[in-house]
Amino acid sequence: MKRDLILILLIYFLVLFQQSFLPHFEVYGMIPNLVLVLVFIFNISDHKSGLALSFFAGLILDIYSGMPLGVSGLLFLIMAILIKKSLKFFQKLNIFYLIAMFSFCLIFYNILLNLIQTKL
Amino acid sequence: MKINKVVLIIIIILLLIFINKFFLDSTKNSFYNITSPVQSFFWRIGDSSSNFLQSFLEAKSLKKDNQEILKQNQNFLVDIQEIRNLKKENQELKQVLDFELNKEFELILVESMSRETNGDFILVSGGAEIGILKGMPVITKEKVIVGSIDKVYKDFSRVLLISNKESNFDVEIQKRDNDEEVDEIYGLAQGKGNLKIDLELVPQEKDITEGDIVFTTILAGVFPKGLLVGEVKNLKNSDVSTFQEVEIEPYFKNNLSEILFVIKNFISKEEI
Repeated sequence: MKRDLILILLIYFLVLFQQSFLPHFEVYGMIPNLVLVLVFIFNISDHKSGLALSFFAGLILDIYSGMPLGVSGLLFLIMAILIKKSLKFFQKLNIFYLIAMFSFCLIFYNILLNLIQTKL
Repeated sequence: MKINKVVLIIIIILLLIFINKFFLDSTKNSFYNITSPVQSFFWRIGDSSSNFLQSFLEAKSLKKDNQEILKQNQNFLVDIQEIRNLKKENQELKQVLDFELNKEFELILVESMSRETNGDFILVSGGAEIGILKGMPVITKEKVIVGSIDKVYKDFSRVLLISNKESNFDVEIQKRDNDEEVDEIYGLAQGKGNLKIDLELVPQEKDITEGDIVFTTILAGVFPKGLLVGEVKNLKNSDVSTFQEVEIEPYFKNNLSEILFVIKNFISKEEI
């Protein structure tokens, strides 16, 4: 529990860092999504509280965006469930699986978020 | 144990619905209030670090750039003298015709704090408390247009950058070396996301070149006239299309420093 609270604080710090420091280092107008990377690492390493942490990470990201609370939270949660499910099919973690899975998560998150943004 | 989890999930969902429905703005405003010192600190050190990194990376081309700037500066000095003469002439004419002088912008100083990872939005300090309203334009101290106010919280505001996909406004293109009289060229600046802007609806026969300066116009009432947008780049002429395919390099991209200004005495016609 204590460890999870520290992780939530780390995520919070990362969100602030991502939104206030990294925009100055954009590449072709894009900012790296460190929170998404962290969520991916939590779940690929089969972290015990991976699902809850993913949801909270999304929730914190929602606070610092124009989204209603819970949108990124829900997307991260779905992403975490998909990663955990995929771990059952791909027992051994190899580099190709990691690249493919991360690319999938990145595309999944961005497409759905853009769709929601245009609908709202 | 399983029932507890289900109850917890239901409570979280209900809580989120409740906050989204009634307290979304005030909740966000409270979080921004708590973290604004950290965000401002990150924004400042990010700005200075990127400036340092940029100057380090561009050290090689610095000498060449410097010579070019000196050359341009000499040309500008001549232009300034001409503009001074024209200004004097203009003022005299205005007095004669009893025109009301253009009022200067009423500005509200705000500080940028963060940029959203997805979508071209930034968060600035200052909100409804200091009279900021939705639709007000945001500029830099060099009169470069940054965007317009999209959402107003109590102490903070969210700015829709001109490069956002939702943003489009009319612009005027002026030749960089404007020595002779040329036709007025108008177009539509359409945000493409990720700090990119396209220039649309410029007919093929209009003569524009890379480096031409793009300004806002008052035609559709989105922004005040004469604010700097950027310069023309990546010009592509296609025989198939009626219009030219042009990109605009937005000036605010390299100018998004901490201090910005909200124009108080102008609101986009879309918001009125």
